[in-house]
Amino acid sequence: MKKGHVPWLRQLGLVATLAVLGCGAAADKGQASATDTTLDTAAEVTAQPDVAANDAATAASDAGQGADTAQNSEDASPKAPCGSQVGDELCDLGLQGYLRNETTGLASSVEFGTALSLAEVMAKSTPKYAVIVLGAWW
Amino acid sequence: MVSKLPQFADKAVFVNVLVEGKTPAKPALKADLDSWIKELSVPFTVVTDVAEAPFAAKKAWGVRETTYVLDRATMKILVRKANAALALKELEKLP
Repeated sequence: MKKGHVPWLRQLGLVATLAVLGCGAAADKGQASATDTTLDTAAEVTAQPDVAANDAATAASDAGQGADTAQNSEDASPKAPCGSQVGDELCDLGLQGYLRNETTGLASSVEFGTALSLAEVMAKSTPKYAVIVLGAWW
Repeated sequence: MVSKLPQFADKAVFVNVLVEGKTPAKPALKADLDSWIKELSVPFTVVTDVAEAPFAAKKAWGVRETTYVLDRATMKILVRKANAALALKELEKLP
């Protein structure tokens, strides 16, 4: 390698540092809530004059971002759409009424809930299956 | 369906959803749930749409008497039938 390449590499390091600072600015604008580590790293990089140290900090930041991104993509992975046919996950709905898992007495003996959901009804039960019957008075 | 409850009490949780009120054009109200529970002696969960979303259950889940058997933990639909009697026959077959 020619000696003249070393300053070029240092410049590359500076460019990388500026790129990290740029990411920090983007995070300041709320573009990525998971980039808090980037913000911290950017602050550290600014305080350190040594380019090699900056490169190391940038690499560490990148690694951290990679982990965050993987976590985010897992969290954001789309669930299968709900539906109303066999094989679908029944769509959840907000409901009101009486949540009671007893086999005797009257359902109305418990407090009327105005902010229930089917998922909540399911979560507060223990049997393996649930039978949902749609009814009407008329 | 209430009469079938003892037979399936350990196997399934039962939920009645009133999808309409006194007429098909009227959403079910708390008074309708109270009457339903009292006259049919329903001991288990009885619910209807929240006031802000009338007929939401009918739109999402189907017309009156439609009956589902779900895997409770995942809410996956295992059986969908036109009435409870048909659905309970399928429930009997499930392990």
